[in-house]
Amino acid sequence: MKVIITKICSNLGKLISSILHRKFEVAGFDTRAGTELPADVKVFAMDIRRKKTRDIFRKLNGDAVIHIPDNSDVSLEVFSALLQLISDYHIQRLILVSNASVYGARPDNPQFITEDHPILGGSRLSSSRNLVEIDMLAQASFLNNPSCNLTILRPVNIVGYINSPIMNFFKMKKPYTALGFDPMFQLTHARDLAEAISVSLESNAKGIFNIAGNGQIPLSKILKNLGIKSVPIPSPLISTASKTMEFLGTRNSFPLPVDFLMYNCMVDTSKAKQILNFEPRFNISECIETVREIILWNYR
Amino acid sequence: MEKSEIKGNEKNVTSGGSLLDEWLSTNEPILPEPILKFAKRALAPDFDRRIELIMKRYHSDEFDPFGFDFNFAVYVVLIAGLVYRYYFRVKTIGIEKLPQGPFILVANHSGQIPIDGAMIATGLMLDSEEPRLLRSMVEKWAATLPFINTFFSRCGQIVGKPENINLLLSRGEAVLVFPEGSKGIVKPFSRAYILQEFGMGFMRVALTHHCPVVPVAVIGAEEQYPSLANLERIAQALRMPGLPLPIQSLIPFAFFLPLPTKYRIYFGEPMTFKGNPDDDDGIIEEKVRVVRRTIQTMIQKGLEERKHIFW
Repeated sequence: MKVIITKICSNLGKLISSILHRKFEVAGFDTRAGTELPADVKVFAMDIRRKKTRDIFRKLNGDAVIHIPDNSDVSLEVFSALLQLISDYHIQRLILVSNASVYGARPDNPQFITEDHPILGGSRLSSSRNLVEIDMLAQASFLNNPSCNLTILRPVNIVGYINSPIMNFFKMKKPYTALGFDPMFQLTHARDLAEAISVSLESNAKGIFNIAGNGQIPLSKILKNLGIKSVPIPSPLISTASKTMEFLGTRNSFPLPVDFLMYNCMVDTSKAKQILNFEPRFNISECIETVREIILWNYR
Repeated sequence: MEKSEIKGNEKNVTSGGSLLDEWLSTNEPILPEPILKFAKRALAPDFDRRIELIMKRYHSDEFDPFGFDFNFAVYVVLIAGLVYRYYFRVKTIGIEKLPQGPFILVANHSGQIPIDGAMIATGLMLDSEEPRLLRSMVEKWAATLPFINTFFSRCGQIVGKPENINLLLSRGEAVLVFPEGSKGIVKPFSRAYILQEFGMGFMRVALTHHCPVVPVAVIGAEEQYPSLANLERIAQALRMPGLPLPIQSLIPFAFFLPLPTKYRIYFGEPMTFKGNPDDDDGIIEEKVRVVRRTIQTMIQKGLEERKHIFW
């Protein structure tokens, strides 16, 4: 099987390709040049929206595409272009690495959100809006192109050597928390996510699957275990400051939206366990241990 | 950085000695030792045994999915127990009828703040033959309140969603629901002990899990905060489910303390219902009406038996 990975030079892309290249023929696209990738992985440093990509897609004659969307302004445009390529070159399989943040953290969320829960993450948070739109576009495209086997993975709080909101939050010297709130958290190890992608490719199962490591724990206990002292701030202040930064176009100093520091956004992973036969290797204590190692060696 | 272990409600349960004493000696005490000793003695002669049973039942290597934290809840039980025994002097009637496995307690809601839920839960902990941790369903509004939401979840209370009740019942737990919702708790004193409309969610869940429904009538809670009115418009503006105006708010130095009414909690016979949980509302409503009528009858009986509000 020939697998094409987008954003292959991201840390998550590298991790996925390092697992998949042993089983499949792997190629990837990224706007950056790739380093630390396995030698047998072909990397094309170009934007998917460029016309030249069509020639490469035709030559690659891929069987599956793994798309790792980012939260940039052009991510929706990039994904639309990718869907067009998938349709034009009759690619049979698309795995979209979405995120559990698309469900949104809300006071009326069930404790464990199932895959059929509405994705409301964009209604309050502009930061999740692109991801929500990509997720919805993927589902709509399945109706237009039913020959393509679509799998959407929605991992929750990915930790590891990657750039994710939760990792950026833990890397802060003094992370902020919402005063008077202590939501429950699940964590997903990046290796488990990469493994889930590999399992999805092999199983050929289609549909939406939540991914998370086993176990859950309040945020305060995670921070305590990491030896991090947080700064509790009233939630309206975090929200206002974050929105002001967004409006001014400056770098947002609040990597994790305030809603996720107030309300639970935990997922039910039983569907992935049953259908994909996916069992995470890292439980919450091991995920915390990974975070501890990363922040200890690199940032403190 | 030292490697620390994740501590939750996963306290090791070993034989020998009092588990509670062992636990108290290994955890940072929130309350001073003399107060703890006094509280334990004052609540129940077999208080340690009861807590041990709860600890064994909820022993797990994982933190409770709903955020229940024994380290925190044990102190809440001690304080709530003192209020239960000596402030409201709660009398439970029929608590021996509670079934062993999972069940749904359905109670009337009153008293402006959910003290009635706390007293029922404490009753199950202190006065039931087999002590049980009761999971109460709370309004989603409570989840938006700083500190309150954390307090509720650490005590094992849960936002009232059918998915959450389903999960709890499948784990064999006991669940408390107030189908009147906020309409019941904020009603003015003129409508005391008159049940409001019931929601139907609990019946669908009971039918799904084939679990018994236990009707509960709480007498005494209506008078703790006699409410003159419900300031609905202000409540709507503040996005609150209701804003009652209790008499205490008009009396200087009353400090919003509830009146020390005597609580009587009546537990009815467990009721089992058969049918399709996905039936039309009309069919489900008939079953809900049976529960509502039973609770209303129990309330009337309780009011007739009561000689005085305060004793």
